[in-house]
Amino acid sequence: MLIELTAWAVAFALSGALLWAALEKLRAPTEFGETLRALGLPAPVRRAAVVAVPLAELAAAAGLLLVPGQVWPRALVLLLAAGFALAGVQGLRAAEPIACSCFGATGNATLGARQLYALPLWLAGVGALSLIGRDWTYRQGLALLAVLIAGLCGARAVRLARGTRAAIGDRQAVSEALEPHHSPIFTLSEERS
Amino acid sequence: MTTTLAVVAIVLAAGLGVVVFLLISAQVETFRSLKQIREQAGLIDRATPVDLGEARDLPASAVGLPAGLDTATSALVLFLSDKCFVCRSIAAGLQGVLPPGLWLVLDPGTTPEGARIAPELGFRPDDVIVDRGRTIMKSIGILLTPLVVVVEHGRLRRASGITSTRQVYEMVGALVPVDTTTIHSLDSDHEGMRA
Repeated sequence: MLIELTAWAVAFALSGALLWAALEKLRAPTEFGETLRALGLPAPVRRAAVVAVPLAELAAAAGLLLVPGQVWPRALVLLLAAGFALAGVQGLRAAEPIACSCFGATGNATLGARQLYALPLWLAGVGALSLIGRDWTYRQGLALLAVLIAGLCGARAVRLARGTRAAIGDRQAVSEALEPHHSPIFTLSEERS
Repeated sequence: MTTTLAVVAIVLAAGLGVVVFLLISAQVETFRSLKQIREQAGLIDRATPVDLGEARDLPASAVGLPAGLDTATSALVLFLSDKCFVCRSIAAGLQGVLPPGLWLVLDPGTTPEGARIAPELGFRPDDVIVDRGRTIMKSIGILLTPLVVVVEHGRLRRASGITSTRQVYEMVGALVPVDTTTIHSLDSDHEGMRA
């Protein structure tokens, strides 16, 4: 049971990261395209990669959960991880910082050491799944995928709630600053107005 | 048949979840863009740190604040001036209620000597310190309002210029638990400063 839970947790973590990254890249492909351009990829490769990379991430994320017994999802994860690490190396070598766009346009991260640090984690995750994680059905995997997507929505909703709160605060502050209360704090009159 | 339906339902739920995720993400990005615009325009609800200079680490009473603050674990002193319109908004926004840990110092500005705190603001005169002539502010060395000075273990630690009532409440919320019995009970030796 513990082994099964561990396998689920690892598959969840890998799939979650890949699914988030894929959906964000597909939602805002321009920023990802800019990252690929900054990495020096020629235009035809870039145009293909803007679609191919997130689709590969999507396929790997789904494959890890839906067909855990198959080798190709894990191979795809390794391929992607290697690509991320190479991009990290290129980011470190570049004269100017390169925006990551790893998880879409909403982050401010740049390509570099983090992609290199992530490589052993990807390898460890894939290794762990290869050893222990092949023991659930397609239907269970589908349910896991639905739960994962709900979790991602929840995580996004938390950020949305924070953004909403900050926006409301800014709006109230601006109202106070632009349309201030003009009644004086001190008065000579003793009567209530 | 039931199993097939369950699978279809899960697929639909997952698909719907993806759509929801994309919509929420788009909304997050909208807020991010809005924040960038506000930052460019200087319309951000953010406290601005102000250097306390030589007043830093002084006991509260050393700058003319009530001696009761010298024993406060953690408190905020809010300085508002009648000359400042944002201060008037903040004073009105407090609705006459000073949360535990918040001390209010009011500068009457150029109002005549006999002026009192406007009753519609709802403050009890005993809860408020009136800084006529800006004596306290001059002792601290900052004449900026609205200003919040953070008192920790009875000493002035840091100050921030604020722009909204919300910031006051946020800063009050961030205070470590205080001994509320020491709050709002001004010393008798500060009787002359009360409204």
